[in-house]
Amino acid sequence: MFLRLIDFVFRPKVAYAHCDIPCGIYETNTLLMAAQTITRMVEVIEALPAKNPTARDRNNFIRCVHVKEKHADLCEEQLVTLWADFFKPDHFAKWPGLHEKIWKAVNLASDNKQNVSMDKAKELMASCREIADIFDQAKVEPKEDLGGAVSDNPDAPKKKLLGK
Amino acid sequence: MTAPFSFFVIKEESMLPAFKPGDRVLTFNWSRIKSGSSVVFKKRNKYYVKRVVGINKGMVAIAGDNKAKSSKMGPIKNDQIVGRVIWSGS
Repeated sequence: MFLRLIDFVFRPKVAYAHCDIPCGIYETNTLLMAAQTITRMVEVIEALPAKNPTARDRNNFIRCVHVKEKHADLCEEQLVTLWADFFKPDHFAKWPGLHEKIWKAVNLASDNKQNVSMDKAKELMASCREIADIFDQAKVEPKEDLGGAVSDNPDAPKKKLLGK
Repeated sequence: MTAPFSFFVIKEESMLPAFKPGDRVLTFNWSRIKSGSSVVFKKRNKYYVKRVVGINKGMVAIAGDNKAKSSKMGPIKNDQIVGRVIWSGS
């Protein structure tokens, strides 16, 4: 009865004591795609006319900013997941400065939300590539055959983005 | 400016025995958080409750108390935190 009264007055929101299941599957394709999308959006935004924009220009501007923001959020999330869940203490010992690299990349993702700057977009892309390289060196490939559950060449998009 | 207090109801079990499903918690949103505090934070438009296990350069490591039903959820940024749990009841 008392709880019902409290709920009626304060209308509590739900807070999930969420149970996370560690799947053990990590990749950096998503991170690199997100960083590249940010670069592309900055390119498109900078190409829009500054003077006398049409309604279509204004529409495109808003859409591009929205996509840039979403992908910067995605970048941050991917970086933080790698930092907390994938990289272990022995990785940080083997690659000193890895903490700072990831911290810098997360802050660059945030900078790219606040700014429209090709320099910052390229800096973020370079940071993400560095971290993806370290990830590739640190990752141990699964031994079992996934039986067609993955594409024939899951690393193809990443190799292209890394220029390999 | 955020409200000083917020009120939540708990779902799921990863914070047992501190909080069980159905518990109500009150957060104080104007204090600094420190290691050991239970906090409510927002991620992807949902609220979660976990315990702070470490703070490093603006990133906060959080984990559930119920190790049988929880694992690391990954660190969060300080500005994702809504507040520190100061009261719970059922």
